Amino acid sequence: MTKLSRRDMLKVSAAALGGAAVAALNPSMARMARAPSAPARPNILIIVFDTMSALHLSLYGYGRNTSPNLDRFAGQSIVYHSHYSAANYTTPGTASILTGLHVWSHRALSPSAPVLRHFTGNNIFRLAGREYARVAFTQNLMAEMFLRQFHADIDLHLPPQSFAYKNPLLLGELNPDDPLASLAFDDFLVGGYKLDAPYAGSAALGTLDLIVRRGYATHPEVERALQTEICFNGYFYYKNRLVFEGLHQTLQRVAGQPNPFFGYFHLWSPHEPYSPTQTFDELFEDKLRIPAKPDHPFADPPFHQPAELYRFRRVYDRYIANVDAEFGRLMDSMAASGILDNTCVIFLSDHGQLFERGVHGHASRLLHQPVLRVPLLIHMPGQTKRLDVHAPTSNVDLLPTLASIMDIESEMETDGRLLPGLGGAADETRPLFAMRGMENPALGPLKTGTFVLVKERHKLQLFTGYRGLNQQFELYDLESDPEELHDLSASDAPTARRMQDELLTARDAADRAVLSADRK
Amino acid sequence: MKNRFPTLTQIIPVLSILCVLFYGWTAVMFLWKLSSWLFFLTFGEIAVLAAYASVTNLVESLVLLGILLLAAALLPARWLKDDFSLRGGALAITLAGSMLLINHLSVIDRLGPVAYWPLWILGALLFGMALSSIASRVTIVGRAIVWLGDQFSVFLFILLPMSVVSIVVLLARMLF
Repeated sequence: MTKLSRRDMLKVSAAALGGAAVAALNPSMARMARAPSAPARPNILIIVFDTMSALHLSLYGYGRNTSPNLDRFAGQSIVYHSHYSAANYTTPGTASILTGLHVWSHRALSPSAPVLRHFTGNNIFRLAGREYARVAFTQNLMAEMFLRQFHADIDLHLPPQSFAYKNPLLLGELNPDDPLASLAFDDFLVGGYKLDAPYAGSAALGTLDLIVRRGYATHPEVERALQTEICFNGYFYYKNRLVFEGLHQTLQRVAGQPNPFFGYFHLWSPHEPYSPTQTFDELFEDKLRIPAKPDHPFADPPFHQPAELYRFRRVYDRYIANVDAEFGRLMDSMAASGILDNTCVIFLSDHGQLFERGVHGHASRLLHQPVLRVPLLIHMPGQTKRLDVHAPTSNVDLLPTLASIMDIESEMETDGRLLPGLGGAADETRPLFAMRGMENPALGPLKTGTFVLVKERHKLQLFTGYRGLNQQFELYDLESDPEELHDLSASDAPTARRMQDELLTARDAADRAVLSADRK
Repeated sequence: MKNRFPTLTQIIPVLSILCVLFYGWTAVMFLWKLSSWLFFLTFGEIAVLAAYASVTNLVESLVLLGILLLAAALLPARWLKDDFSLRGGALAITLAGSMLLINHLSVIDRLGPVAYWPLWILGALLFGMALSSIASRVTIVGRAIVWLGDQFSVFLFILLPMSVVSIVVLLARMLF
């Protein structure tokens, strides 16, 4: 046995102390390098395209060829044809994806609201557990709120401006191994995000940032590029091409880890401002027929003219075609690098977009089909054939389905069900709920908002608590009237009444659960 | 060369005004963010954010002080250097104050188009020069600025050591 000299002991001790210090000071490094686990589990890749309405995808029968690459990808995936978002904008919609809970359960109602504290551990990253290398990235700062809230369950959290044009003042990369550097500089001190405080934490850096960002946006060359090349999410500039290449590089990096990866990538595109590249800028100069839909009396003015909405729709469709092409490139790269062979790819969106009834956008009071119907495609490792599922499904179903795919026994609360095609039953009579409630306090009863129940062929929409509006219902038959042109609430009163009871009973039960949990 | 710069006793009140304004603004914003951070950060991580903020505040205070010292060295002595604690203090209040104001105006969307921003900078400089001129002529204004600088100096005994500790913490995080 070799004896250790005092000098050797000092060296060993110093190395041990140094190692411990590195691990303590660099938590992301320590957390990524774990003992290998059972190799049978597939990688999980969740790609969320923000604001992608299923009703604008040729995959689902739209009149423009907006999604040839998704169509191709669908050839080896499970395609869900009646899939719904749980809400109409990012905060509640994303929270439902991540927690498997309805909006009235998790209560992320207003734009910068987190989910209720007791649901912090109720998320897909915790579900995946430490046997997965959990990677998360979003360009949407409302979604970023949740990645921060679930920070303890994420091993590698890429800052939102990753793969973006670098504002020289975003100083987080001074210490790229320290995730707190980005939070300190890019979020707090430079104040680029303004998620939870409107002002920059540093007066000088905040002032310089204003000059750099606004100066950049008004530079004539950049102004031109913004029309065709560069995208903007309200906080930083980026090119989709570079973002997707960055994603692929990240995947290659994490695929080399001993553990399977669990990736959640929530992209800003095709959210407005729509910025298709030049290649896509002349698409769809057609005469797509859109049914005339009058301005909705419950929507907030100002109303957009039909011609204006048609123009917005065309650019949105071009932008979808653009990001669809980038998605296709990403899938091809993953296939070429072999990552796809053992990866379950889940493609979905947090909500859709409206171009009708005088409304452009998604945050309005109207929860018509284009804003709630979102795509869902799931490609399982080795899958070569397409499977179409027409039963109604919801974004809250993702969490229980992930548990099944990853073969994990979960005791997490969920309002979702196992998806058909992956072990779940195709229940055509299942009720689906969605809501908009940004005017409500998180812990109060839900008095103001729009609430939706979709069941079998009918859809009930309740507007309540808005100024001058109380308990106004609309009923549509989605089978005979998919464009929601004829309100049947008066002519089919029994159905309307039955669905009202079901909707209000479910909402009030959720209210009681939240209020009693809060009292505890 | 040394004669072209003000003495340390004249520099310290100006530095203390800059520090109080920059660190103070950051402290308020820090408290604003704290409720959100408590949702997902540990106290240790929040302390690291405070360290980044503290070092940034020190750097911005020193940079602005450096600009004022450079101006004092280049301009005729009676313009700035001879009465640095008073005139420099007035300029420090104006320059740092205009930054706080610009941040506020941008939030309430009253900053105006970028084309006007050079006017902003020019306006802030002219206002600072006017204030320093008034301060040297109107006794009560001058005494108020000097008094502020003197009173604020005590904060340097807290802020500067805090920043030094923060530098050590951040260097450790960068190096290891």
